[in-house]
Amino acid sequence: MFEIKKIGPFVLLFCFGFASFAQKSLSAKEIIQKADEVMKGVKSTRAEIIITTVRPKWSREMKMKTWSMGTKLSMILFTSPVKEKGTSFLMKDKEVWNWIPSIERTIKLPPSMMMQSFMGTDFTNDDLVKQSSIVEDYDHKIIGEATIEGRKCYKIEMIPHEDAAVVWGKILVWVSHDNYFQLKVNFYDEDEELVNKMVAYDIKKMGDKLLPAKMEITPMNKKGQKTIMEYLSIEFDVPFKENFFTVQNMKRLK
Amino acid sequence: MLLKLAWRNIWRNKSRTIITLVAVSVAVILSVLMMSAKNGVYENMIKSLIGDFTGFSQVHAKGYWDDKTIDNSLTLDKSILSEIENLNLIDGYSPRIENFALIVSDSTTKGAIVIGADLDREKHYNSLNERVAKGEYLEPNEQQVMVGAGLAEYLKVDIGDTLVLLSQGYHGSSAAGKYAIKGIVKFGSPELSKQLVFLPIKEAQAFYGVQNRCTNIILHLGDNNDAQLVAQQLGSKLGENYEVMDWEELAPNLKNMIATDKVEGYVFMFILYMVISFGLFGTMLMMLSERKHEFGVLVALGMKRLKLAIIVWLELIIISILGAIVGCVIAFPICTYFYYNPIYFADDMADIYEDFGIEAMIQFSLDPYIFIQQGLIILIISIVIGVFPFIKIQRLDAIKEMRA
Amino acid sequence: MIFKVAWRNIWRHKVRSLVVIIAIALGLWAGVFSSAFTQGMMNQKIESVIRMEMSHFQIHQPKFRDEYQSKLLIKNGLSIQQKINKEATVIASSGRIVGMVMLGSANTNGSVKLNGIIPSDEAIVTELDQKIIEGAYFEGVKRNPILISQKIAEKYKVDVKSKIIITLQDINGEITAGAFKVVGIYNTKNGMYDEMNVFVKRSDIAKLLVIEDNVHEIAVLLNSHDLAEPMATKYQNAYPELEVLPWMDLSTGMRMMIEMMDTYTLIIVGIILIALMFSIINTMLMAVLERVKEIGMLMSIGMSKPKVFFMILIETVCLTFLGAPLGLLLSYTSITYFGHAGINLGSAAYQDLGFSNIIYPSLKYGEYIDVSIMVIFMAILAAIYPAIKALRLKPVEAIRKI
Repeated sequence: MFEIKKIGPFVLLFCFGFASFAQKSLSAKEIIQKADEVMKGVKSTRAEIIITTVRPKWSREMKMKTWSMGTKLSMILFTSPVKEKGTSFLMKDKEVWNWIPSIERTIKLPPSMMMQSFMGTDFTNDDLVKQSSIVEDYDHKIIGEATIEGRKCYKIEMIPHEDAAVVWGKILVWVSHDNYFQLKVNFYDEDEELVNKMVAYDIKKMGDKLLPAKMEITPMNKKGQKTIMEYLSIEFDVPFKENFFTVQNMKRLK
Repeated sequence: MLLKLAWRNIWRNKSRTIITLVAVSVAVILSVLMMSAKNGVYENMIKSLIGDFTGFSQVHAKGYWDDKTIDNSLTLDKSILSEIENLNLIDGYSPRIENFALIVSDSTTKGAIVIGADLDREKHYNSLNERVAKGEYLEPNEQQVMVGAGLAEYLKVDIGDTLVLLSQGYHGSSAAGKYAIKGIVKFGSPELSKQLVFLPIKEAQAFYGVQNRCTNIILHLGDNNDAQLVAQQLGSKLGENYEVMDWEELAPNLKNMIATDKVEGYVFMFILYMVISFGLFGTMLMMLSERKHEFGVLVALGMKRLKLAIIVWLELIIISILGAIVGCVIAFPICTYFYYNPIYFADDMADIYEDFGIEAMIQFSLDPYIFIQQGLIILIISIVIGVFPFIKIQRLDAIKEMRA
Repeated sequence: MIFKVAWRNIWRHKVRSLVVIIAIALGLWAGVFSSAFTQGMMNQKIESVIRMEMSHFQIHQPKFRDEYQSKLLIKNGLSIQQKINKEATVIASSGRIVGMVMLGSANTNGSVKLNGIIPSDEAIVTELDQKIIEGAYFEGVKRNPILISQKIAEKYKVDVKSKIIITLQDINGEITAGAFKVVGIYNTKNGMYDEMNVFVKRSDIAKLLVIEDNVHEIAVLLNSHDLAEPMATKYQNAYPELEVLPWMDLSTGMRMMIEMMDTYTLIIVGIILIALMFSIINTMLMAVLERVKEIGMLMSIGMSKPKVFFMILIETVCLTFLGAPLGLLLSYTSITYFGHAGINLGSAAYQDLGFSNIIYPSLKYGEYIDVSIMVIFMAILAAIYPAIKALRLKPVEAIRKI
């Protein structure tokens, strides 16, 4: 149904994968590891994001604010469109709560709902809390160099381990030499056929860091369909009140 | 000329004619009754499993049936509705919005199908109001729900309790609402009772964020046998952006089941035809031996054998046609009687049927096709058997028979 | 005396007698063969439901079959299974872990019913190993093998050795996922079943669900269909806290089908008997008409009316007793022949239902006798009217006509 949902970890990587400058001669695994680990250094974030869902006959833009602390606590508040305004999500470990202002209810998403679409996007609710490791679950190999948007990139091939719960047969990642930007990720099935394509672009300084502000995910087998994510702003290491990430606070978010 | 002779012969020996005529008409009556009962069982099955809920024919936006989402809904504009209304075969229609939703009660959560229904039309065409087992039927402008009995039991809710419905609406919007339960509905099929929630269509449109749209239009036909015809006619009128389906497409499994049963039924029909054929053969054989003397005399008097054979054959054909007509005429009131007064099953068996969502009865079918088909089949059988006397007369030893 | 006359009459009118004899033989055959055919049809359906899907009876926690909640394990499931296996009437049993899971490939995902099985048990109980059309039955893949149907393979665009991800709720309600490798592809020809079911090793799925080696479902195969209900009742009484159901209550509509078939056979045999009755009435009536003069003669030489009546009746009875063995012989030969060769009903009708399109008629000996009695009774009944008619024709007047 929602083909893109299995890309969850990479979306997280996109959000937070802006590493420190590259050191020389890293192995493929180290490059990915660097990118993956950097976020653990960031204590907290506050950001504004627009997610655009594009379909052959329509497209829909949703604006939201997000807050995160460490890797296990985060919150999302929708600010537009009008119909979704005020809706908020709280993610705590593997659990997700949803505040729906129109019916004045907070619902802890039951497991059966975790595999459903997150607010009509191509992501599932489960993607919000999924923790799978792009370092541990794959074998990595540098297979070449390429230039994307004027930046030199490592072209890294990632083959999932036999027992990893990963549907892909192969993933190709283009990681820039500087900053470890994941500028392009291609997802292949086991017959080496391209299934999904993800690109990141529009690199600019946000908060105090340089990062790609936009990302596009395109499923290859669905014509005219894609998802675009765009950072309007992001701040790092912002302080939070003690009870900010609580169910009670979900209703009060602004 | 020959026909006239044959006609006269028929009335010359009335009792013999009547016996042959009875043989043919009894054959027709039996095969019609068997077919009628059998088709009646199918009709009942289809009606119980399809008619009350799925409908015999439905209109969707193109692609809806393969991908049942609100995004594949259609606008209820005048052009479609007038096409539907203009087709004589269609008595009426009821639009619905169907979508999967999560139903949250205080104690638990379950996935279900939420149907936005045009309550007046569902009442008029489907008697949905009669399915209310507890509480009351919804009013069109209410913001309440009716819940299937099985679902209510699972969610541990009753009249007056509040349910939260969560789903995905039009173009990716979220759909959430809370509604009080006004009624509990019970369907024959426990499967349906376990997974249906009804909302007034207006409220459902608001819930899913669609104005004046629906996912399927159920067509109510004057004659359910026209489903395929309607699908073809309306389909070509509405054009490429819509799909009109008949029940065979809507419920392919039931179609397969019935198709299988029909093939098995042919074996029985074949056996019955064998018995009937022999009965007819025997009757003709007897007639032949009885009339051997007469034929002998006629041949001896100089009548051409071919002419005589044709006359006898014509006699048989006339009697067979009369027999087939008489058979149909007698079978019709019997079928009609069992159509209006179906045979109901005894209690324990009725329970089993009703658990499966089928009304526990055998209601005979009045499909005219059955009468024509069976009448023709028996007619053909008797005409083919009539070849036997035809040949027999050709070989008749006139002198010997005359002396006998 | 009357008997002698009747007997002689039979041999005097060979054609007429032969017609009645054949009519009776054919009617008997039709009735018996129809019953045997229905029985064959039932057997074929019962057989496929029992052998493929349900086995003879199954044990679950009550309510487990509603939602397949993974926490509803059968307490002491394995010891119950051991106990069952010790029964003399039990061929084998299969203890399964069952759950609704998400199946994902790179191309698509959807929900299916996952069956965690012990391959060797399942091979005996449902003969799953016989339905492999590609790959092998749990051979050749070491870690997490999964068996999927051809339909699922096509839908998810996967093949033997492909990886498939299973996402499910563990016993604590948490979502976990595991990677499985397609070891084989099966096809049972039952579309609905194939669309839903995948099989993995029980130990693999137990690990994923974080449960001890225990089961949700025990399916038991017995050495006789007739024992299904009594055995289910026996175990239901032994374990009142569990739900023990025989196959006809596990499969929706199965019990209905059985009942329906019985009624149906009755109607068909009834109609055939009526057809037979009419063919005898007609033939005998013709015979009587033909013999008006003869009967008149007999009466004028002093044969009483009841005697004439009985003479005709005895004629029919004699003919019936000549025809019936012939019919029985015909029935027995044809049923034995088709019972081996099968009647192929063509493939079009049996699409996707999982039933074989070849039907093997079969009938218990007792039913031969039942049908024979009915036919003989019907034949004699059919002779009464022509016999009465014979008397009403005023045969004495008839001879004067000459």
